[in-house]
Amino acid sequence: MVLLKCPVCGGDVQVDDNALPGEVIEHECGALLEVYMKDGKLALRVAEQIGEDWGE
Amino acid sequence: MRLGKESVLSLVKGVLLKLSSVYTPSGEELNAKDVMLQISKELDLPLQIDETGSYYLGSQESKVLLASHIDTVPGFIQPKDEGSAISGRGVVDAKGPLSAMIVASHLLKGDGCDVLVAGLSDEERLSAGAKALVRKGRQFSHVIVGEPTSTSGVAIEYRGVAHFDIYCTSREGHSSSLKYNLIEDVSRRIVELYSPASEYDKPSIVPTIFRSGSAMNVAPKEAYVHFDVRYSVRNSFDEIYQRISSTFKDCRVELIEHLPPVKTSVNTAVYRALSRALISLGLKPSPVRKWGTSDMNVLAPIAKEIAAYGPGDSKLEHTDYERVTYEELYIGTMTYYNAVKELCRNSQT
Repeated sequence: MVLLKCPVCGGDVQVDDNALPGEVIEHECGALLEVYMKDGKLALRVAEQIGEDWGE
Repeated sequence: MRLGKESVLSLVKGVLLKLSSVYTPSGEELNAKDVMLQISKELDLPLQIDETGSYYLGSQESKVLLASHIDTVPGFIQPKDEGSAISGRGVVDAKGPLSAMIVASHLLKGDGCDVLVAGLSDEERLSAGAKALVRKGRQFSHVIVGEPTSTSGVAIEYRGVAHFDIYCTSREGHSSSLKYNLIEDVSRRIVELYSPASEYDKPSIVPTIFRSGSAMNVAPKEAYVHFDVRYSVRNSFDEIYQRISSTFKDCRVELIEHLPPVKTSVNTAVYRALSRALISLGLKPSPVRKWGTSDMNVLAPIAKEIAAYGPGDSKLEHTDYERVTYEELYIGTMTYYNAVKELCRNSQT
């Protein structure tokens, strides 16, 4: 596990070592966070909001 | 079992063309029996058919369920292989996702990861197939619902649905002299309640059937209205029910169908496995919420974790232009395959 900080609330976020850039995590503060690579290391940024899709 | 892209495509196209060559509107799912028997034999996936016309392929004991549906909306459209896509009734909703699930389970079986694939019945009507599965008391660790999510979306939320029948009565009389008119009265209340689809978290209350009147010169004594109501997990169903009941307090209000909304999380293993599978195929996965309702609403209580995913453009559902590309079918198949393989691997560690 890698310990990162939530860019919204500053709280701790546990991220799996094998997380892939593009994975999305919902933090306990409610923020939707996206894993990305920064200087060769896993980092977090605010993800796009949940999209809406037509139909079933 | 790793196969090359062309081999995977050949398998999934073959299954989809077979499934879409038979007309299976809700209630006529058994029309696909011969085709399903053939697919079962060719892909070495044991087949069971239940009393509702649902098909179950693969390991009947598996705790992982890939659940799509075999029925389509009415109106047969002959399937056509267009060279880079397949068109026809149901190829998007949901025989494309179902075909991808069947081929993925065949590949997974070769890897020692047995799953159960369901081609459920009646999804386009009252979900008789999914409800029968719930009644049987089966429980699953992970369920992936096969519905089109525009190939890179993973659905974690669906709105709920409620259907109301309302019967109003009055005194009939000659239309030339009666001061009260039931059609006018009920129409006014329909307009008062009507709330078209506008925002995800705003309930929609839509009249879909209205019948009244029996003769040209008689003010009617009976009126019937049907409302189709959709709402999200952030709405109160009790408030909606109360609003409809109080608007028609002197009428008989019957709730004839109700499926609560469902919401899950991106933090589940099943969402994560689907998104990682998409990333490994070069796509950017996105969590989505759907305005409609699906078997995910029905199956959620029997699944520890659940999400919906499927190849195909969801905007083509229920249209005469259903069409799924080879690329979408390949991505869909490999997404199911990679995702379930990860779930199997994690369950063994």
